[in-house]
Amino acid sequence: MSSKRRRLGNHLDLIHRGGVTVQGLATLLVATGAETMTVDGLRNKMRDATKAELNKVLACSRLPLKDGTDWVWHFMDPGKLLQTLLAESPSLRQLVSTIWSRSPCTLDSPWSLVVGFDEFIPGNKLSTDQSRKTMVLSFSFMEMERCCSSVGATWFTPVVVRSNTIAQVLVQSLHLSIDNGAYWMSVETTSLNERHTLGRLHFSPRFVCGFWPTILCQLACGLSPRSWNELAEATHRVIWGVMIVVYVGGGRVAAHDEGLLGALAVRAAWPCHRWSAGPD
Amino acid sequence: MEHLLFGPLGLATAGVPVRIDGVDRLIFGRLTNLLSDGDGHRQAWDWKGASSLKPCFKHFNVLRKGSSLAERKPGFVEIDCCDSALFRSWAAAAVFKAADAVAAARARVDAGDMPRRALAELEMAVGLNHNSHGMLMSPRLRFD
Repeated sequence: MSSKRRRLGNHLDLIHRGGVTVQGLATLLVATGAETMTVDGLRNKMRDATKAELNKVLACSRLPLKDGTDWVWHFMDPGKLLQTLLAESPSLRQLVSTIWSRSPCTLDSPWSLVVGFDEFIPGNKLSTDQSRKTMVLSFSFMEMERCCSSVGATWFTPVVVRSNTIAQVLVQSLHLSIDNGAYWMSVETTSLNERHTLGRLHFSPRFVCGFWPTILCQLACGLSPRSWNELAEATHRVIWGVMIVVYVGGGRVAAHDEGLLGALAVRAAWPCHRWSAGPD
Repeated sequence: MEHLLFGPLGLATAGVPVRIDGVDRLIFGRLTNLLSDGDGHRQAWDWKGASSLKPCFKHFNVLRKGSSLAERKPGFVEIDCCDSALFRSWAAAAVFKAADAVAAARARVDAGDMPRRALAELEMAVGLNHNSHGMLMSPRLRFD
């Protein structure tokens, strides 16, 4: 048997043959260029392809453990995961489009989030080794479930983590939110017994809706607001811009939040929804 | 959960920008349901679990079998009670109030105003463990 034919045989062993002709698989391997590769090379290529897709949504977080060491936690950014799946899957996009036409989603009337949290133990079911126990967090929207409760693709799973690791982690978290009309950002490190606030930036409703935004808008953008909505829109962008400056210049945010800057920029450029129904 | 709802692309704050039917839209979400089994609820809510004095997270008047407490006060039953009409559910506000009470007790223990044993008894009575960074302790993650 020639070396080329032997390699092809090895490749075919990697693939489940049920219902597919050997000739068909051979044609596929030739078309993909896999016939000239070794088995390990093919595995590596497949792994790299998977990794490239994964890297689009992967986020990592360096977390301190109780024993003083660091642990790099890899998980999928829930927002990016949702974005990517909607971008890649026409059927899911169609589904969301249908749901959107029935119940449009806004900040004031958001969709109902359903979070699933359950354990999963990979490997031998007969093994009593509990260290393999893994917790899986998935989420979906109630609106999707009402439309198609039996479709598994409507569940998104961003986090899978071993349960014994959860207990070892000290949590550092970044909070970025709008509470009571105020923009609010803080970074907190939480240990089992105490919580330290490392930094906080707070814009009160009075500031957001008051005199200073007008001055800032005029100075920063040369904008002379002609309406409430225009003022709110400009204020919104200025404040998110300030947050970017604080994020970059402050240096108090952990390195794992590297995606935050881009998200802030996107958010700053996005139309302001909160005041869209305000007095005009 | 904090990352999902309040992260850079948080569903409850910034929203997730997506393109649907050629139009850019923002998807917002509000936590309304937590779907899990007993062990998941135990971890998520810092509940003491099925073997505790409060073996049911949903019904506050269901006590452990053989605890000899149910007959002392009307309205309480043990977990082997066959009449589900007697079970009474917690209101969400009552759960949060119990969690706040445990947190306040923990603060008093840390300040030296309260013995540690009293905290343990309170935790046993309400069926919740104190966890300063648990979901129950985050006001933004509380929902009805």
